[in-house]
Formats: sequence, C-alpha cells, structure tokens
Amino acid sequence: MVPISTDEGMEQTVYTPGSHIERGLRQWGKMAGELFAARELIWRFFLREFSARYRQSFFGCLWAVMPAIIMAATFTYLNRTGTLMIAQTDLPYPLYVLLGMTVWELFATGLTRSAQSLVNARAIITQINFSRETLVIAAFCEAMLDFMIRAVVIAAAFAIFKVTPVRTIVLVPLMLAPLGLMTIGIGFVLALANAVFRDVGNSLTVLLTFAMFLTPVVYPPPQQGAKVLINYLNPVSPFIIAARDLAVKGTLSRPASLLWASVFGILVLFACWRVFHLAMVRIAERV
Amino acid sequence: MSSETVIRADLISKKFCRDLRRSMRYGFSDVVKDTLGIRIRSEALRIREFWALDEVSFEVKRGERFGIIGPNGSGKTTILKILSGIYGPDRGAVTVKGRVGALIAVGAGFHPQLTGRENIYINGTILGMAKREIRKKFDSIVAFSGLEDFLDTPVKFYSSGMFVKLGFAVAAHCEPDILLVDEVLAVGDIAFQAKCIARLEELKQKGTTTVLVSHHMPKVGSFCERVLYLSEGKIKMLAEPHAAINAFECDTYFADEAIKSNVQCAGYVPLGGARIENVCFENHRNGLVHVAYGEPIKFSFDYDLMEKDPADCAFAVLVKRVSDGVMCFGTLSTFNGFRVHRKQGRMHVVIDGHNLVPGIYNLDTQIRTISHDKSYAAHREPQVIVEYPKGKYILKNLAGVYQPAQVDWQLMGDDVEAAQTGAADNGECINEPQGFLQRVVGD
Repeated sequence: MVPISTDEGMEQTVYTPGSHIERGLRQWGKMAGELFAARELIWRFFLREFSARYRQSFFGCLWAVMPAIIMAATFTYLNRTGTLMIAQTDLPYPLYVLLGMTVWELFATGLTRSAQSLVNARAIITQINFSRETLVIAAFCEAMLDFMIRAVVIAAAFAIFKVTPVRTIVLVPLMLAPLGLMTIGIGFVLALANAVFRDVGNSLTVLLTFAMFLTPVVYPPPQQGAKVLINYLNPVSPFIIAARDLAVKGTLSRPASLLWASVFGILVLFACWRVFHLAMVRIAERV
Repeated sequence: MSSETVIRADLISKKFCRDLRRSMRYGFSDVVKDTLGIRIRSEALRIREFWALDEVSFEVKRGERFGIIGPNGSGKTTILKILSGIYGPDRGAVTVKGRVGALIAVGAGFHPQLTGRENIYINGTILGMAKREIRKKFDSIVAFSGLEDFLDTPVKFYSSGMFVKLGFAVAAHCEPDILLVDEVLAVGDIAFQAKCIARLEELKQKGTTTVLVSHHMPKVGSFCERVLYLSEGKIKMLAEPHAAINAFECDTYFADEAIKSNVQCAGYVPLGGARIENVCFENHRNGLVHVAYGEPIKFSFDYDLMEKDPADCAFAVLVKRVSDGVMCFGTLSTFNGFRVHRKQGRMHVVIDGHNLVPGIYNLDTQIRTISHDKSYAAHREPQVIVEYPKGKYILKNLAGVYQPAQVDWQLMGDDVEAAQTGAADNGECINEPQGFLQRVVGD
C-alpha cells in the first residue's frame, strides 16, 4: 500500500478494510511507481539467490545447462535408434532440441522459481512490509540468468555442428521479451496460489513436463492437420518456432502466431500483476 | 514532545481463522472477490473465525514511547503488523504518519549461506534503505554489531545472539519515523541490550516514535511512557506503565493455573530442626496478601525452636519479585538488633519503608543460624501483592529494588509495653494470635 496524502512532509498512510483496492488508471501508476522504487530490492534478491545457490555446490553453474543437454542427448539417442519417429529437421537434431529446450526452460524454470518465491520468503513476508512483486521478478531474473548461461552452450553447439547462425540471431532476446513478461505474469499468479495451496508447487513440475510435449521442443512444428493448433493455442510455441527461425533462417515462418502470442503475453502480465497486487495483503496472513 | 498524533488506531479489528483448510478457502474467495470487485463483508465472522483484535483504539504522539503488553496470543504482534501494513484491518481504520520501521523479527531476510557483509546490504534494502545509504552507514552498522571479525563468515555459522546483533544493528540504522519493536531486545548479552536501549534513546532524541512489545516488564516499565494492556484482542487498560503492568501481572499470575501451582509452594517448608506455624498477614484475602504501595507489611507467626539453642538462632525475611525472580531484599533479625532468647513464642514483624514497587512478591520467613549458613525452618507466602496506588503520585519509571529502611521484630508477650504499642495498630492479634487469624479469615 502506498501513502495517500502528504502532510507537513510526512507521508500519511491510512489502512482500512479494502483500502488496498483502487480502481481506474491511477492504480497502474501507483503499482509502477512502487515497483520502480523497489528496483534495488529486485537486484538484491536476485543477487542473494544467485550468489547463495551455487556457493555450496561442486558443479556450480553447470546445473543451469544440465537439463537441456540431457534432454538433447536423450532425444537424439531415441531418434537415432528409431524408437521415436521424429520428422526431419532442417538443423542437426541435437542442436534443434538444444535451441528449443533453451527457450522452453526460460519459461519452465521461470515458472517453477516464481511459484516458490513467496513460500520461500515466508519469514520476511510476514514480518516486513515491502513490495512483494520484487520476489517474483527476482525469481524470474534467475531463470533469465540460466538462459544466458545456456546461450553459451548453444554457441558451443553451433561450433560443434558447424552450423553458422544468421545475423538475425541477435534479435532473439528482443523477440523473447513478451515470453518473459508472460512468464512473470503467470509466475505472479502461481506464486500467490502456491502461497495458499501448496499443491500448486507440487503439481507444477509434472504439468510442465506434460506441457513441454505439447510444445514443439523436441519435434518440428506440425505443418498440417488438427495438430497445427498446437502452434497457435500454445502461447509458448510461436516463441520457440521464431527463435529457431531467427537463429538459422533469418525469416519468420509464422509471424501471425508470434504477434498473437506476444500480445497475449503482455495482457497476461498486466492482468496477473493486478491480481497479485490486490491479493498480497490478504495472502500475507495465510502464507 | 510535540502533541502531534502519528499513529491513530480507530476501533481496529482483525480476524483470523483457526482452521488451516478453511483459512485457505477464505483466502482464495477473498482474492477472487477483490479481483472481481465484489465487496467483502469483512466485519462478519465466518465459520471457525475469531477476532484476534477487537475494536482497539489508541493514539500515539510523535516521539512517544508506547508499550504494548498482554499474555501470549492477545494480539500484540498483530497490532504491529497492521501498523506496518503487512495485514489490513477487517474493521476500523489506522492512520500512520511517516516512515515505519518494523523490528518484528530481526534478521528476517538473512540468507544463511551468505556472509554478514552481504546480508547487511540485503537486509538494509528490504528495510527500505538505498544502497548509498547503506554504504554510508556500513561502518557504523558493523561497529554497532561488534562483529567486525565475522563479517565474511556465512551467517549460518553465527550464534543466535550474533544473528540478532547484526539484525538489530541494520534495523537500528534505518532511521524510521516510527519504530515498531517486538520482543527482540531480550536476546543478546547484557552489554548489547544496553546498547540497544541507548540507541532507542538516541532515536527518541531525533523525534522517533517507538512502539515496544515485550514480556519483560521492568524494561517496559522503565522505557515506556504509556502502556496498552491487551487481553484476548481487547484493551484491558491504557495507562501509565506501572498501573498497566500491575494489572497485567495480577491478572496473569492468578488466571494461569500452571503458574499458580508453581508459585504456590506456600506454607511451612520442613527443613528440620525448627517450626514456623500459624503465619497470619494483615490484609490477607482469598489467599493473597494485599499491601498498599508504601505501606508496611505486617505479619505474625508462631515458632518453635525445638532442640536448637536460641542464642544461635535468628529470624530472616526474604522478598523476591515473581515477575523477574529478583531478590529484592533479605534481612536477618540480628541485623535489626533483635536476639532470640526463647525457645518458642509468637513473633510480630513489621517491614516498613520497603519501597517495593507495585508487583507480586514471594515473602519467605525463615529461622536460620546467626552465621546465616543454615536454615532450620521456612515459610513461603507466595503472593504478596504491592498494589498500585490509586490517585497517588508514583515515580513513573520506578522499577528498582530498595533495601528496607526498617524491619521491626517483636516477641509477643515478651515486653508488655512494646506489645501494647504494637497492639494499637495491629488489632487484638498480639494478645490473641488466633484472634488475628480469625479476623483475617472473616474479612
């Protein structure tokens, strides 16, 4: 909650039942202002988690790239032995999976980390009043860092498979921005839900694995039939397809679906942020 | 102190749910309703809910030191959390002027894997300090905590005391307009506690308002200017410290059966060698001895030294404060110039000018050797209440312990003159010990 009036240079805050609810455009200005004021806190939380995470670990940052490499290796094996019939890809298959996994993992780890962020910070949430959004955003920043670490592996993979990326590859981070916003948005709601119902955190890993197979991560996007719907209904698919396009082709094969998914992602962010902001006062006592 | 009100709580109430699953469900429906813009009837209780705070109103002026006391679960911390905006009230309104700093749990947000240095920055940021501000105050924070040698040690290796020191050091430097302190000062060694109090004094000079929640009554009594006594979410009393503390102590000690049975190891304690019997106090009602503040404590008892040599025996009184276990005074009849010369009799004792501050005391009467090294008999009177004077001036920050000015020992019937002068203010009990007892019982 933010001060509502200024009096003799002192902020005056009034708390009443429902004083956290505001309507209209002003609310967005306030939310943005609060978040901007807390930008240092996001950085601190991010630094805290990041520097603590690998401190007592032998492999350190390798953990960020393990899942993608293992996934690529497994599916390459399954594909080569003919266990799985996967359509021909225009890239070497391991590189293809690696690219898909990198984008998918940004979404998936972003969600898993955000979902845990409030519960992990239970002690501070119930003791100190600060912008709670920072926790979720910091959690996403970690997923973003993992993404950057994976980018190094991707670069290595390009060299190993002797594939030259096209120049448009530098646009990939920009193109993925709406995916990031959508991840933060869904993360807000998952964090809230997990704070009240721990089931959310538990089921998330299972659901995400399932969702990955509904996304063209390890197989090329379907070109015809009812399966094409995956490319449109699944809001993550267009980003994965576009990432591969920008990395090796230089042209977008499905610009319309990308546009749709980007708009969708931004809308999700705003809607979920609003819900999160409204709910936080009610959730603090139930975490 | 200015008369400007910085905290105004107007009939605030807060409800909680006893049941976890219902609480989850209520939380969910509240969030959904808020989102959809449906009004929530927060003033009504749902199933399994109860009022943790019930229509509490108070005001705190700028620079004031305001205490909140009450038994566990009476809503003290809930008030602090509403003041700092963590919870919203379900009824009523709270107005807070200025930046609020909460010391509800020091060291919240410390990451165990990270070093003290890193945690200072994290904790400071959570408490609302800018990086530049922390950097500027860093040395001062470290010096305050006294942990220079452990700055680069992960805080998981800190002792709990060190943890609190670092946490308080950071919090004490964030210079809020209103500081909410919850029971954190009790941790840490004495030197550090003194440092904390000194820091709070310093903040007061700067005009900081402090709201202190504590179970340590002497600290509340000496630090606060006004005290709110809460019980089951309702205001029991809002008064100057000692009035509120006395009311609280009396209520809790006599309500809580566990404590009652613990304190009530009353009566004759057989140590062997001598006997103390028929102890009767003036103003003895319902098992409690009431003493008006500043008035003498009067009692009498029968004794029997049995085989012991009277020349080697002395009577002793020991007074211990129940709230903190401090021995307020102890004296031997020989110190007061009284020598035992009969094997048995009835003693009359007047403890005058004792200056005991309002509170609950144990009063032990003993028969000891003159050399003080051995006790032959003892009697404990568990609940001697020094009452808060009504309509009488009392030093505000009185929490000290004073030696008695005078203990008067008289063997009844030994000196008729003395006995009669004593009888003038003590009724018939000197000539008729049983009569005193009856009079007391009949009260």
